[in-house]
Amino acid sequence: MGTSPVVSLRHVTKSFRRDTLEVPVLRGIDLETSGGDFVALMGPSGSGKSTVLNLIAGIDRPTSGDIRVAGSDLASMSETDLAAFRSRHIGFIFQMYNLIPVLTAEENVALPLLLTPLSGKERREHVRTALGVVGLTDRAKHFPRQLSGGQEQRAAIARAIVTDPTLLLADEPTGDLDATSATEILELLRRLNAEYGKTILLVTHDPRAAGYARTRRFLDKGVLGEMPASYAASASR
Amino acid sequence: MKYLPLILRNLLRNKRRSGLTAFAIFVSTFLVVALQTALYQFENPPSEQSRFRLVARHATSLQNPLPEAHVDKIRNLPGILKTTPLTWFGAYWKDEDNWFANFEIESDTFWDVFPEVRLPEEERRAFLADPQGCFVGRDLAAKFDWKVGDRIVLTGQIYPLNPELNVRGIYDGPDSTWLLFHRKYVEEALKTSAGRPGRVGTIWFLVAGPEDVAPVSARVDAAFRNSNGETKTETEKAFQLSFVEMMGDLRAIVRNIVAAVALTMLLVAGNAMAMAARERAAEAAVLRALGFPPARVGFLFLSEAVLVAGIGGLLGTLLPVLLFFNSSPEPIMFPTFRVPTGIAASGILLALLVGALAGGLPAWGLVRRPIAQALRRA
Amino acid sequence: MRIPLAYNLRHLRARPAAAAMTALGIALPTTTLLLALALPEGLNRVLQGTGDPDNLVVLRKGSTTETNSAVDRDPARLIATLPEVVKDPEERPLLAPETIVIVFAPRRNGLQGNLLVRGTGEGGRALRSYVRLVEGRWFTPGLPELTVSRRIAERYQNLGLGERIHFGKHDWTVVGLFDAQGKAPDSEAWADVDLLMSDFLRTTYSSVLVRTPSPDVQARLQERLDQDKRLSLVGFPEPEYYRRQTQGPGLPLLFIGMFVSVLLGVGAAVGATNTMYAAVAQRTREIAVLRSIGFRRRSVLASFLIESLGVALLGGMLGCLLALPFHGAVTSTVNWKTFGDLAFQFRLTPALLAKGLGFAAAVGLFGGFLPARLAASRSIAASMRAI
Repeated sequence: MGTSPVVSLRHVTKSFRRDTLEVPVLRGIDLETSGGDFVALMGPSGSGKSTVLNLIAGIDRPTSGDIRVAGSDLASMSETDLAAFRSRHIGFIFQMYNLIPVLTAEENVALPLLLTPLSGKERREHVRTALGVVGLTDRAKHFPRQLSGGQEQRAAIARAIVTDPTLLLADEPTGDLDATSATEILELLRRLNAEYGKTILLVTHDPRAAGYARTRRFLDKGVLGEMPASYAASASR
Repeated sequence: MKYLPLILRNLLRNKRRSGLTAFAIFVSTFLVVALQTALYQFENPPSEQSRFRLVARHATSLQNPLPEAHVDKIRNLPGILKTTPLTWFGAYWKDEDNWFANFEIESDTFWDVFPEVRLPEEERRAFLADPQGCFVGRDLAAKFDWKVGDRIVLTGQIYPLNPELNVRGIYDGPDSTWLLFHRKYVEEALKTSAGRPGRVGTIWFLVAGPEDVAPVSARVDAAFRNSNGETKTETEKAFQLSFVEMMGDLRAIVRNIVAAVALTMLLVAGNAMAMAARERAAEAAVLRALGFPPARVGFLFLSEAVLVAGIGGLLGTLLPVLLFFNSSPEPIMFPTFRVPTGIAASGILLALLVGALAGGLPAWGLVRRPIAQALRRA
Repeated sequence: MRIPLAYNLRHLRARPAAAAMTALGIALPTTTLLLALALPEGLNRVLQGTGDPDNLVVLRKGSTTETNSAVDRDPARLIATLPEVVKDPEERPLLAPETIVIVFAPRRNGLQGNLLVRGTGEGGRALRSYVRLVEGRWFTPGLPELTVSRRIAERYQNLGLGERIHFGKHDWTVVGLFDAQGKAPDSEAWADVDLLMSDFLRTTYSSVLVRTPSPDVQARLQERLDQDKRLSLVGFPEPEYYRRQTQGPGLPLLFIGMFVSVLLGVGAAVGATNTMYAAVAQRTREIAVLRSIGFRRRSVLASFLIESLGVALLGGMLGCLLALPFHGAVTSTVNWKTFGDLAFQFRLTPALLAKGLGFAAAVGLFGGFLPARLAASRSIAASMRAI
């Protein structure tokens, strides 16, 4: 089964408990992504897009349903197993970059490598390569507060790809950026998909951002459905 | 230790807080170490051969003297090497507040039993030659500014006698805060006084080794049973401890103080670490999202707390060690004041424990919190 | 213009754990200080509260305590004939020749105690009317019997009613318990003076306690004793006799207690500083808003100081509460003047509690000062940018 899906969600539901009230967020999601895909998950805010991403990363657990990522059944895994799973298979890109402020760009990128058995020399090599891919080699020694938003996000992307994970998860990566920087980031993601064959799941409410993906799925009121015409129009550039 | 840079950077992130917390732990550890050392000094007075030196006193009361004849009787008992009487004279100099230890000694035999009292040979001869001679410890001489050749008049409180003495020497020893003078001088002067002549306060003697302590003590006490001067014989250490115990249950007091100090330290450090954890919640979630196992994230945070506490504890232990290495804060109360290794170790250990506890709860909170929830706050 | 207190209160309520930990951190040193101060307070109450101004304690000249003193029988008999001494209804002089013996006795906590045994008689009881028999009976003259303070009976082994203790030449039986209302005799065991003296081969009394009719007469008696070189005696009014013993006992413990409290207080102040710095950092923007509304630097400084002070006073009150259960607890320490144990109660007077609160307040102000100054010194623009 060479084409076994990287991500497979089946009948996934998720509800939050607010006081005594059950608030359903996902009402039964089925989603399959195969290797090398670049999927944009769209929808209005509060539609549960980020929750889907969190479930796939194993940082949140579903109320019901099966989630398999890179061949593993996440439901059966402990917190520690999930951490090891993320370390090996997931690269996470956040809207607010979430770099550690007391570490330089290269130290931030090196962070996930601390979990691998690589030597210090090998770690430095990997970091240099990742920074080269995102085009941030000359900013390696800078602290996050010395970088622009776009540069910070590029450092964060370097951190996400440095371990060569199976899957990149990006949660509104351009949500906090100006248009130029946003374009740069989206181009970078597309290049990672096209040149390096990275499987990418991008969560965004911005149709323009979704336009960079190969496939687009639309999440509304907890179910995956057809893309409204208004979105489709602006997404096809 | 590839995480050390990260731990150190986090520690220095809020230098003021880390510094203040380390300072609070430094002060507390200093307190714990200094107090325990003081207690230790009280309970283990300096002495070169205390285990083999025994003291016999009246069984009923320290206030009761023993008949002088006891000295020779003890001297002739088997198992006893050297014997000398020592009598508390209880005088003050000029003012009642000038309180210090002054004893009458049997000058011929005194050094047989107290060889650690080191008096230069010529000063010793001068003392022996002068019936009104006395010699004083170096610390005491310094306190009252006495010099060899000075004439001092003491005011007796127990006996109706104000000895007029000539300082003939200054001695060095583990406890150099005493004044010693001839017992004969007091006996002569008080010849006619009721209840005094022919009596001594305590009788000190040496035995060959620790195995002799119990049998010889029993032998001495048995020799005087049912006499007018029943004795209680004990080791020098036990004898001195009984004075310490008079003040109250010092051990219990120190134990309670140490508990209060440790708790205060824990509150200060715990609060600081809780504040750090609140600020760090999102970052911890990011690390976990990157694949850091929960235990690793908790360990990183805990290391910070333990490191801050360890630094404070180390300084707090070093200060009394250095401060009192060659001097004493109160020579009259503590002739020497050294920090025993065990107490130093316990000081550092306590600080580390406080660090672990202070960091433990917040660390657990960081690890237990759902990642998705913490990330939303980022 | 003052920033309303409600502002500080709301913030304290928003971070209850931090406020509580800071307050508790200040409470512990406060408790330590109060207990240290309650010690001399209790001791002084015993020593300064004992003694009838009409009584004169007669000692050998040169002595200041009964333990050091020796009064021969002849001078003691002579005192009884002096006109200054009050007579009882049966025309007997109201006085008590007494003797003091300090006896080793095991305490209930396992430590060795130094029990003060007072040989006395009917006169001694008459001259100390506040000593009341609460159980059993008074000792019988000529018999090895003791009547002991109830407080002592609770603290020493073998001193309960009906129990026996050996010292001197006899096994002494406790036949009664008395209560001396917390005054000095509450640290004593009483026995027949003649039997006690013969047990200890004494030929001299320790002291003679004498009742005089008025201060004038008392002064005259003091002078007569002083003048008579043959007698070689000295008289102290009883209250003064006890007051003279106050400096000694308890001082080392007070010293240790103060030392510990002050250092602990510094530690707690540092904790408060940490908390207040965090509060200032959190409210940087709020402070800027307050300043831009028109509150002055001084008001901001005051507001943060008041907040720190409030937390500290809360801690101070908690410290008082923690110390209160010790009020009245009986403990003892050596009276270095007599070498006997002196039992006393921890006493937390309102004045003491006020001192404790003052200490806590000082800790709060000390700890809050630097953060408050930082809050007040920031420029509005810098504070706005800092977010």
